[in-house]
Amino acid sequence: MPKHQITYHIYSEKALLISWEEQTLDIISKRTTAEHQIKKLFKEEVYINQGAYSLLVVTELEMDHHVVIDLIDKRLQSKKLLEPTTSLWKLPILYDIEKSLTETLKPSCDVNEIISIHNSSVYVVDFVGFLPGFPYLKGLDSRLQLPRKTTPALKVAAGSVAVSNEYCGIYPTSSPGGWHVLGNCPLPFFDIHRVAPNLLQAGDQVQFYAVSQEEHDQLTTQLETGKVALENFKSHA
Amino acid sequence: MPRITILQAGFYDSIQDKGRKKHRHLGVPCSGAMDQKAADLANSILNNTLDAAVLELVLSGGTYLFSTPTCIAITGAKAKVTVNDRAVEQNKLLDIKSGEVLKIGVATTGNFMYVAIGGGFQTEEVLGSKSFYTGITLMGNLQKGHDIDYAPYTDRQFTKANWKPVGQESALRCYAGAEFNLLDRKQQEKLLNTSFTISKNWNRMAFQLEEKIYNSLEQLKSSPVLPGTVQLTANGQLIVLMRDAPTTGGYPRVLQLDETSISSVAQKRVGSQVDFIVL
Repeated sequence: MPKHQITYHIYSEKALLISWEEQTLDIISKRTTAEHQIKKLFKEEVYINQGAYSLLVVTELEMDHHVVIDLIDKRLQSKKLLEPTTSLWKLPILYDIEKSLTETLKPSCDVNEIISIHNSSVYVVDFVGFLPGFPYLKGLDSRLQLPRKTTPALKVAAGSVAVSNEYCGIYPTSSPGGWHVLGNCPLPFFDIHRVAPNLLQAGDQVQFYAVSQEEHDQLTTQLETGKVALENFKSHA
Repeated sequence: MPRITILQAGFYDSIQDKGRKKHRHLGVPCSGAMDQKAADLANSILNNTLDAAVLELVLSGGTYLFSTPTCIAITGAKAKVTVNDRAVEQNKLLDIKSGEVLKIGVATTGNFMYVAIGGGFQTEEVLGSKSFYTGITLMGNLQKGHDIDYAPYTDRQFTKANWKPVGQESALRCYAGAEFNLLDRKQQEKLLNTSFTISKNWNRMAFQLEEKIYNSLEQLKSSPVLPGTVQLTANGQLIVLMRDAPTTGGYPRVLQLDETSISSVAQKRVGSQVDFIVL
């Protein structure tokens, strides 16, 4: 197996940043494997979060960064890649595309084309960040890639499916935000009362299918009353 | 359960502790007391464990009624503090009787004040922390009429140790940020040789600085950040991320404050100046 191009940066007294070169292939498996190995090494006394091509290791333990880097590097260079166990989610979306998108994309793309481009891709959850439970989905068609809004909206509704640059994301709670909203998904993406508060995990696959206002509202009620289980939207990838 | 009742809330009263460090992978911010040194001092005076939850007050405090006897300590920014209209000192153990009323005025130095109580405040623990954060805990800040439970009084609070507040320095100790080396020499020198002014845009999420540094760096792919990460935005503004900051960000990370300096910067008032020193 080729040696991974990994760099280490001493982030703070208790934190270490591990980065891969941009465009590294299999980056999700590489990060997942690294996270797993580091947790084994520290016997779970570490907190790790992921970014696009990096992960940040934070520990409460006293650490000699250079010793830790050596230990981690030995493990990461020698271990096989883990394939994360992942799910395929089929998510309903009520499309209601913001002007910021339609205005920029016309005349090359009308609303129907935007919808068909968006829901014909299979997305992969790259990592979770920004807000509790906010998934960054890879796989957005280049025709829908726009820079973030210059002035963020003061309030983006919970469940908003939105795009910015190469990512599609979902706002789990209402929040200010600078992404261009495509529509709304009625599923609860973050719930502190669940054993795993996040609905989507890194590596999960996601497909969207369009629903009407009526279907959206019905699903919202059925999910709230427990008549429809979240499992119904999930299968093995 | 013993409780305090908020008769009048301060500007932004919240319960805070050491924060939710274990849930960063879910995108959950750390939160926790902005000035951890002051919160630690308040808990130490009472012989509490350092993770006991404290009441954090921002810029001005309110009026609080105690249901049963306890002891408290008030640290952080200086303010006029009274118990039943009698002036009391900060940074000291204060005995409180049933039905007494604590009143905390406007901060005259610093931004954040802390009230620790014997055994700690007993609000709901969510994802391993009692720290308030909108969307995670039931509320983001306390309002008039709210009750907060606290632990029953015990005499283990007494300690002979003489705790003193740590002085504030204007120099903030930093690690070079992950993207520091992408800055050219002039940018690096400007960053390390300028006294930066705390702007009026500050909150529990971030403090913005006034002086700008021209920025030619591209935005990053979303990358992990921590409280204390100093970001350089596209228009050259420096932003010091604080306890409620998101877990990832897309601006170049030019510096990272050490833990003590995060607490120090939290107490810097609008218009005051800070210098960065790379360790």
